Amino acid sequence: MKGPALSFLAGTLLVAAAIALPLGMVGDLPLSIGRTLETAAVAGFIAVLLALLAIAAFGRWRTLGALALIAAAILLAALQMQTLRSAGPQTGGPGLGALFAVAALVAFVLGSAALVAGTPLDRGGGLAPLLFFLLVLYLWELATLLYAIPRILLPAPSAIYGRIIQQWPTLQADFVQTVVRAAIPGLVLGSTAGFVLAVAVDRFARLSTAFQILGSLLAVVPILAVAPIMVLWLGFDWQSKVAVAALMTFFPMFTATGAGLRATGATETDLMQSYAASYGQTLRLVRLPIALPYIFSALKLNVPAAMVGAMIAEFFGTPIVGLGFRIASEAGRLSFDIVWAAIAVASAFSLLLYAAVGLADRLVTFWHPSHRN
Amino acid sequence: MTDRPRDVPARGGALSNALVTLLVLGAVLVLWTLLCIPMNAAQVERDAARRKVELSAADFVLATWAMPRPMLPAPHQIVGEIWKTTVLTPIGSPRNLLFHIWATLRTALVGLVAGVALGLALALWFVHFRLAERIALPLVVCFQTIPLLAIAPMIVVAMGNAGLPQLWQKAVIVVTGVFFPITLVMVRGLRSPAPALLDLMRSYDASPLAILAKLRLPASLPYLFPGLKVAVAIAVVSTIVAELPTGAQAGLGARLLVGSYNGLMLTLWATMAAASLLAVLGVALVGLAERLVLSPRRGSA
Repeated sequence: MKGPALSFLAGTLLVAAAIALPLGMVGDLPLSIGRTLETAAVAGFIAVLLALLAIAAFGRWRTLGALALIAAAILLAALQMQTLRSAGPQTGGPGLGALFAVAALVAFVLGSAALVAGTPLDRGGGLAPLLFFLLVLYLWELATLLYAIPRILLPAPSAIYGRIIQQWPTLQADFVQTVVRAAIPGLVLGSTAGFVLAVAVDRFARLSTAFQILGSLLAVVPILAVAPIMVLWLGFDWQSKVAVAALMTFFPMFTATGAGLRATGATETDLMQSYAASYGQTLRLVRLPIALPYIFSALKLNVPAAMVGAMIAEFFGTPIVGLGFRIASEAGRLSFDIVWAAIAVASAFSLLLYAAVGLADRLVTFWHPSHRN
Repeated sequence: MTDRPRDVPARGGALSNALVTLLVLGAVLVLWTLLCIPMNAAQVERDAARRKVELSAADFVLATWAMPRPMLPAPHQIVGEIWKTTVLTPIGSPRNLLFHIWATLRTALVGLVAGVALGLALALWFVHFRLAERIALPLVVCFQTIPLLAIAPMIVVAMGNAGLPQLWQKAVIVVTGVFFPITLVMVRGLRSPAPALLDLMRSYDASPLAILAKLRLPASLPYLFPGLKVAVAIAVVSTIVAELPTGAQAGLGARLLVGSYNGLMLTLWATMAAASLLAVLGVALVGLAERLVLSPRRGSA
């Protein structure tokens, strides 16, 4: 009983300190949760918090304990945010109470992550990073409330979200130009070309030496240095961006497919030979499935590469639309909130596509050891 | 027909391979030069029409290889441009390619060293604290899927506003690109010693620091060097991108912008060649270091 009791005590002390001590200063008056809200409300919150802490510390089921800790963290965060928002702009940085609250939140998140590890709630290992990411977002929002960070430099997450909603038509046009017209076609084109060429090199072994040499020549060229040349050749519009994205995604896919095709063991090759299987049959039934994990990992890497290629190619010339163009031009004008909005849109899409490829990977190559925990 | 096992190298020894390489390179150069003719033909025609000059076939072909702003420069034109901007221009002048190469190299080196240090520190942290790895590693992976290079302009401008010196503004971009492959590679390497060896160290009552210094770090070296090669290539590209928004002052990225805005094809190709050379040299140096450090230790864990 010692461990849970100690953790309950520690949690209680942290929460008490967070509530009693000042979060920050409003003018000359210290601002704390205990002083600002109605006594009854604070008492109710504290009671719920302590109950949740007790469940987390003494409860039998780890999932329940983890959920209780998460609920406690959310309550404490809401209390803190409510107090700060109702008081108005702060000056002078965080008070001790804020620091204790942050410590409590970090402890709760770490505790729930540790509790949840290995349970069904944590399938795929995604819960702990997600919690941590939300914690980072919350701390960011808190920092913008407590410190006088200039809004142009680092806006709060809520402000960025507001900007995305406000500027949606522009951002949508940018998204279509960069992602739908350039990054995705480039990704598909480059990956397909890399795949096809790798299979051709595998089929016609005589080509392989020449292509290895050409490939290593091409690989050393920083593709982004080719971007301005592509713009001069193919014009300002999406065609040059497709070319850059395709070039960036070609080589990783080519190397990975080559490595995957070489990964077939001698046993399998001999077996197919004993069946008098043709090259095409061996390829389709044995060698391609074995190469799939390599291909998928290259595809995963190619998603951000295609986005980067399309966005950076826009620095060298674009019709006045495009995510890369938006970021560069608005950064030059110092309107950072639109910059952050565009970054958020680009990152969100990149993450989504990466996750989608990861999901496809897991569905198709479910047999691979890397998917077992 | 028996297939050769896949890992047997092509027939012939090193000399034959070198000959094939030369043959391929020669074929590439010839094809490239021939390709210049159709690609620059339109420009030559326009130029001849403007000057009201009739060109014979031979003159036409020679003209496609000698345009000042060609669509596709011939190899000798690129070599000539490199020669002109390195040897025939004063060293301190911003028109000299070496000036820009040095600017890029400086930033890339600083960023590389800082990035490797950060990657190493993260790997050490992850290896000793499993919880940290479970939480932070997926976050870092997600961080890498964000097209960070495309955000580089904003970061550079923001840091410029915050008062950071120019070199470090660009170096931060390089660090964010470089630390991730180093972290991944070092985590694998630091965990690579066989459990039997770890047990042996524990039976000697070795402290974690001793285990780190005497077992884990030496075992991680064969993993570190390929990661360093990737990191060097990333460092060069990141530096070039980081130089793009700072208004084209110095460095290969700045040179690319200048060439792009003014349509100077030869400058662009020369800069591309310089950037490739930088990357190749960096990777070759890492390969050399790898051979120096790793070959004396034969048969170690």
